[in-house]
Amino acid sequence: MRKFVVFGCAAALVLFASASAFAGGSKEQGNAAGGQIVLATNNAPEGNGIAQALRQWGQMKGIKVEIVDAPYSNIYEKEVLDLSQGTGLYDIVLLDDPWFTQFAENKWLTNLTPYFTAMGQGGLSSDFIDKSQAICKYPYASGLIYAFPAVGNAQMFFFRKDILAQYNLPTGPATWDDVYNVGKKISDSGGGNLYGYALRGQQGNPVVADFMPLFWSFGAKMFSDDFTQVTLNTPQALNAVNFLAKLVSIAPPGSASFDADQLAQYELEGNVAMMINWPAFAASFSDPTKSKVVGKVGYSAIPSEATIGSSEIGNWLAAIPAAAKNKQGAFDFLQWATSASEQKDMALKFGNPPTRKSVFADADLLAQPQFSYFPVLAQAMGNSTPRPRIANWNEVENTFGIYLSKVVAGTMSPQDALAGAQTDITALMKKAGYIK
Amino acid sequence: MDSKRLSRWSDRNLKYLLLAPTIVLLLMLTVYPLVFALAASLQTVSVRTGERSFVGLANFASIFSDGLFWNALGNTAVYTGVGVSVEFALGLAFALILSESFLGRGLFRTIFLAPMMLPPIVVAITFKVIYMQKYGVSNWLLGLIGIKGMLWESGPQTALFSLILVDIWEWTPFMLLILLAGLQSLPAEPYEAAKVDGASWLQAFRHVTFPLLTPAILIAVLLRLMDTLRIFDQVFVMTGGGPANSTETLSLYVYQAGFRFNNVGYATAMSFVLLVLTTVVSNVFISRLRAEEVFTQ
Amino acid sequence: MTSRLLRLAVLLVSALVVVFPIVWVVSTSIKTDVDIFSIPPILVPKAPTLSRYAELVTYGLFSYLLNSVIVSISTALATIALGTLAAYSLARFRLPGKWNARVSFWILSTRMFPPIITVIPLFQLMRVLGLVNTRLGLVIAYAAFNMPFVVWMMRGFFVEVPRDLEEVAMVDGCSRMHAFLRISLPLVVPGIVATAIFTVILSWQEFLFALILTQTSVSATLPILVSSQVTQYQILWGQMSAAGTITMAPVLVFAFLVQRYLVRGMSFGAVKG
Repeated sequence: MRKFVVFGCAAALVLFASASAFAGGSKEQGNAAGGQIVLATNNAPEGNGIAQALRQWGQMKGIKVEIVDAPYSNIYEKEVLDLSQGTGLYDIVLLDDPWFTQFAENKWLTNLTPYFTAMGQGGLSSDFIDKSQAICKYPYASGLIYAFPAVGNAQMFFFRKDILAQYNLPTGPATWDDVYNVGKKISDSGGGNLYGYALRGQQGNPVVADFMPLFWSFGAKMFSDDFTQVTLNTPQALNAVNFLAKLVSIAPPGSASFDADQLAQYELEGNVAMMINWPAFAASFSDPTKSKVVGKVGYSAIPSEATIGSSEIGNWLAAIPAAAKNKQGAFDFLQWATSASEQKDMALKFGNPPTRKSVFADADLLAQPQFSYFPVLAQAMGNSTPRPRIANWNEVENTFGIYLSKVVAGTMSPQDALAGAQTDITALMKKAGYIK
Repeated sequence: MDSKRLSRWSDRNLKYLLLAPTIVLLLMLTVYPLVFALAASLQTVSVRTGERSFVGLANFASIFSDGLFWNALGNTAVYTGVGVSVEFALGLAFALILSESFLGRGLFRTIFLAPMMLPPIVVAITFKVIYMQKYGVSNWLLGLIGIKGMLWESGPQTALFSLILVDIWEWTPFMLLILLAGLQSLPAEPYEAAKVDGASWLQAFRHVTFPLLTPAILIAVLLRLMDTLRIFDQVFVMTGGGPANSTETLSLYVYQAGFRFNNVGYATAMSFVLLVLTTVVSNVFISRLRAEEVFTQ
Repeated sequence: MTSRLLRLAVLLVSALVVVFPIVWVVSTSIKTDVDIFSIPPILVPKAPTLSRYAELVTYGLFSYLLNSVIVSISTALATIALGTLAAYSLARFRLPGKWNARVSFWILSTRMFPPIITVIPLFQLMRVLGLVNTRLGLVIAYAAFNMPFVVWMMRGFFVEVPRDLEEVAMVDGCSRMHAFLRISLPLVVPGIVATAIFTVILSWQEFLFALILTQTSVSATLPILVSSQVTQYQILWGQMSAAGTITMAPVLVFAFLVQRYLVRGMSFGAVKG
């Protein structure tokens, strides 16, 4: 009866093998040969623009290209997995600005300065907006170059031109006091169908990103310039958080779980007069199949208060991993992909905002209604503030976000929230060695 | 003869031969990662330089003074406790109804099994729309009966329960399926005996159905418990742990610490605590199963 | 009579609760953007559109679908093949000491560790084996991930097969393996089918391993396509719902076709283990 024994013992192997035959896919290929370039990117328009450019580059140069994409919320994990293990799967990673300091400080990225020198260039073109150049350097603004600014992005203030005109603010509010005073009137008379101001209150990155411009406008800062002190215990910080609580009182209920998409929904349906949001939504506001407010949305810089308003910069950066196998090829591609003509092309095809001054001023683009926000965005980026350039920003942001969420949800007073955040963030900064 | 000897040898060792492939696979794919994780839990990695240093049990020690951990543990306990109990009660009730035979039973069975076939991320995002304050259907429906402005997942008091509700919607079918199967296979004789004794439906359920169904109940509850203790997707998509940290679960915190904060040592240390916890809870059920003689030969 | 009406009422109301979100997803997938958020809600759009599905097709829908089909079916085959043998061994033979219980529990416990922690070493392992971005890599990972469930279900089915049947056959001169193949295995086929269906469903939906172990549409599965519709700022409601519908539909149709078999399979021999 041996055949049965053999059959039994081998059944697993046979089935497994046949399953494997079915299940073949392409094996991971070495990308050193033939100048292949592998790009890791998120699969939103920002990433798709670069991906398309890479395909085109591959055809032009006759080299193999591969695009590895993942949803925004997961591309970070994929990149960290590759970078921290030094596996060199990717030749180019597209990264969101808040991740940059961690990547650069951990020496996961290639210093691009020698490559510029070899080409006889001093560094990034001066056509790039200064603030966009600054965030590509480590240390900030003064250090070596580790990335190209691929896609421009900064928060803007969105307002309803028609509604604010009734309150004599046709070009948008100049100060946060205006925002609250007018916003309160609008909310009070809106009967639950029109709110003066909407805010992103979801715990984590959303609530912090929404709050930082307000925080800065009130003259507050999270850290001293050298990061050796946490400065959330100042009167300016308290004023800002108190003001946030006031804004919550005129915002739509449910703010505590809103992210950018919910805010855009209120805007599209015509249920809100003012908000801070990202330019990615501008195109849909002027699209009559989505929007009830076509032609009614205006854009302005962040309102001022104690100091001039400044928005948070959120560029997408393209960098070359330290373990990449085709660094020169990747560099050559990125030089081309971030050129003015390519940026213009990506703006037309994907609606991606540029990072070059000349593209922001391009007459063809400005003639189209969906790019009407370009001058405001160029100004917002020029006057933007980066997130604190610390490697543990994710954790600091998370901690601050928990306390802000408590204020938005009304379960903690602004004083207590700031005191708690001051203590906890100080502990985090000590752990990371910024505070001795 | 050689083949005869081989045959006898393999008959003798058949039990090991049959187990071997599974054990090898599991050793390779789960034990190796576990050993890797154990090593990671004894180290700390600098978020700035990536340097590793051995810290012994320090990661485990700092768990005890971490308020965020205890908050997450509390939320996970409530989520699991409430979620699994309700899923069990509903699953049992519907299993009892659907085990009787009537017209349309097959259709109802299929309908009730449907929710667990949707990808969890679709469920999470769809419920986020359904819960939306102004544009959500849930508040529109409540408005019809005069209840206005329910906060659902954006209220610090209601958020956790709104998430549990989604879990119940999606996973009661799992409970239902296993309990239904258990009910279908009960022998007929005890019922006939009970009928002869003049037992009411309730008495028959208490003294016949429930005891006979216990093994199926234990398995269903055990599998759900293990899955809810590591609930992640819904929370990540719907609330990000907020508002005011009221929905942060252990595995969300583990994810943030490990991936977002690059604090792999601490994240794995917390995972081991979660593993111990799951083992302890599971063991309660498994020892009951053993008492039910599932483990006897 | 009243109890029957009551039963019907309870069933109808609950079916409504169960069905509503599903119908919602399907109807969102054929709505235009304006209709998606209108209040009162529109269930059947006046001007339905299939453009979301067309967009998914240009995005490479069919390769995702094909990957999902191949991966889940291969996973089910492999897991059932290995798991059934292991389960039979645990159900029929006595290992020395208390090792039956220990091995069973150990197999179950491999499911308890948060997967988020095991993905890093798993990724490294797959890299060494050259299996990153292959369907085979995914199948192996899923086989391990589904094994506890399969072993425990199958074990319960084998326990219920009377030993006498096999012993009679063995007295007649069958080897143990012969008895297993000729007597026990045919008896648990419904259980095998039911367990296989569960395995297909679980691997069909799996997201985390798929995210880490796949890179491109060469091996990526449908859940990756679904979550790709949630971008940094915007949720592409129509496309996401369409992708969700496509993910759900095949399993749902499948479940409807085999529903009777599924419950009967599960019920064979009481789900005791």
